[in-house]
Amino acid sequence: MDGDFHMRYKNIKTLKDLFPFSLKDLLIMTFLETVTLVVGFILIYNNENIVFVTSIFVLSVVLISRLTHGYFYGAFSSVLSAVAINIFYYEFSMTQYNMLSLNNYFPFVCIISVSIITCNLTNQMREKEKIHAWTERERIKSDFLLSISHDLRTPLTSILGANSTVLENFDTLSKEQMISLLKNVNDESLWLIRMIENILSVTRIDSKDAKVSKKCEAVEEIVSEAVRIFKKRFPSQAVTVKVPQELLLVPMDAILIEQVLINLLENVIKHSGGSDIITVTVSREDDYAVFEVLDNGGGISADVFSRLFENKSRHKKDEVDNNIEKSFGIGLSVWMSIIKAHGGTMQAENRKNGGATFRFRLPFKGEEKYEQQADYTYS
Amino acid sequence: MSNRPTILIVEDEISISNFICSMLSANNYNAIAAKDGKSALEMIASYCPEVIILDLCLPDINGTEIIKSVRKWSQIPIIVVSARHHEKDKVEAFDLGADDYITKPFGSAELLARIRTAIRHANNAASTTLSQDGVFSVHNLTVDFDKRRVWVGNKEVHLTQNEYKIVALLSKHAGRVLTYSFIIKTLWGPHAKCENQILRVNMANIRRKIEENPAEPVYIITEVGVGYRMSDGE
Repeated sequence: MDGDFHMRYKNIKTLKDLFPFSLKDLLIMTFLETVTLVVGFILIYNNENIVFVTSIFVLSVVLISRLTHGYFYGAFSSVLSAVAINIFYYEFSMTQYNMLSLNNYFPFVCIISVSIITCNLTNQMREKEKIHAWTERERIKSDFLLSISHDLRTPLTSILGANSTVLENFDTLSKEQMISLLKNVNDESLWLIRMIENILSVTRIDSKDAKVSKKCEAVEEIVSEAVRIFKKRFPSQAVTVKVPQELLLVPMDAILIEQVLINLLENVIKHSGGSDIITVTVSREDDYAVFEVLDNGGGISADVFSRLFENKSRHKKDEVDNNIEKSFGIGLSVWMSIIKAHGGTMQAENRKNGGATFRFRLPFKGEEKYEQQADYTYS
Repeated sequence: MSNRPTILIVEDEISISNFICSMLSANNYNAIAAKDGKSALEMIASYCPEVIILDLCLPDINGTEIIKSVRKWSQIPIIVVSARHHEKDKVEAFDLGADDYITKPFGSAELLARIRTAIRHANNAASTTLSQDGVFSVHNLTVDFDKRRVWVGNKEVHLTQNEYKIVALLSKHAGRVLTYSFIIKTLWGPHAKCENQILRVNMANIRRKIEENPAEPVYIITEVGVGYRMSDGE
């Protein structure tokens, strides 16, 4: 990782890096240079002082160097500008052109220096920005890793403990003791598995631009699958699902959204303090599909609420924090980032009559709306 | 001993292979294990197992190669074991002819259920019960292939041409996952673009007609990112 970093951001001095080609830069340069030439010509034509004209050219070269990438555009426009200044000067001041006069080359040297210095500064700035973004990402990553390893260690310790107890004492332990220990192992392993599924989810988000690969999916299918998987794990929990009559197709990474829904449902089991029924609804709100998971349990307490979506840091040791950590752990912040990567938003609130609502919206983003009545015959 | 169905486990992780073997032996199966693709192919040829449990990640050859080469000469049920986050592998495995997949991690009960289903399907296919009387039924749903009619309970459901074709196709392969591309190619021909949306729209319509609550389907189950499966009552 570190080597990669140095390769990408320190040794950029290949020819291609110094002179990258981009149509946008070319257009910027052409536009600015043309404007300057026209303005310069008008000024000279109206007998303005050559000093004015020169300063306008310098400004233009600085702007081009600043706005484009690499050295080419700045250098090219500065040469052009210097030529233009010379022509303007000799044409309009009626002075005889003298090849040997040092005065001819003075504007060249000045303006090219200006261009190169500006290009250099611009490049340095851009590099710093890149490095900054990279370190920020690495910081988030390492925070995330730290909090995961903490979350993983606890169940692993208990699995190892229970298992070695059984292995070393299977003669002396009663059957009940053994079963209870093994059941413990089972529960903790299940918890670990879910944790790891969440962690894997994060790897599906492209680390470069925090984007996910989206495909149009039928919302009702994703919701019903999530509920089906959840019911397999918690058969005794009542869940009702409501989807609109209209078929909603939303671009998304289906596995990730399913994951978020399953997590929100399991969240209710873990933290609502018992809910008679969980309701999952999907509705359409302008350009968004709105997913809601509602329960009628104990709701979210105020101190938990304020830190709900923070990337929980593991340093705090007090009781409440440990509780949130065990409960939401990496969860909520991860799901939040998943929803954000889809261009959506996520909220939580307490319901008036008790219980909590977790809600997220995903944009349709101008996807074609399919009328549900039609039978699409393929031609 | 001799009457116990033989099951081959192709898995390179010894610990997983061990636990599956002992679980299967405890449940009256004759379990044999191969830990790489080459020995797996040899063992399939010499033992002719009833069911193959195949992990796609193998040290020597890709698991999909095994499906391909087995399918050239045999319809032995293949249950693919894969990680949850690899839908592409799943789709490929199904399109190559895998019968079922189970995602890691799985419990013993789930795997045993899949094995039973696989064995039952293999037997059914052998005795061609697929359409012996031209009728498929599960729970309250009845599909009459001869009359091209569908009932839920006593009420006939009016499906459009394409909707009926989808229901009939899934019913004929009840219990098996059919991938999106397989369904689309069967309905709209081999040159149809993989336009999942048209399929989804049709599926939404079908569900609104046959399911009590389209958001909690009983008959046609979605396998996210992979395809659809008609329930076979299990």
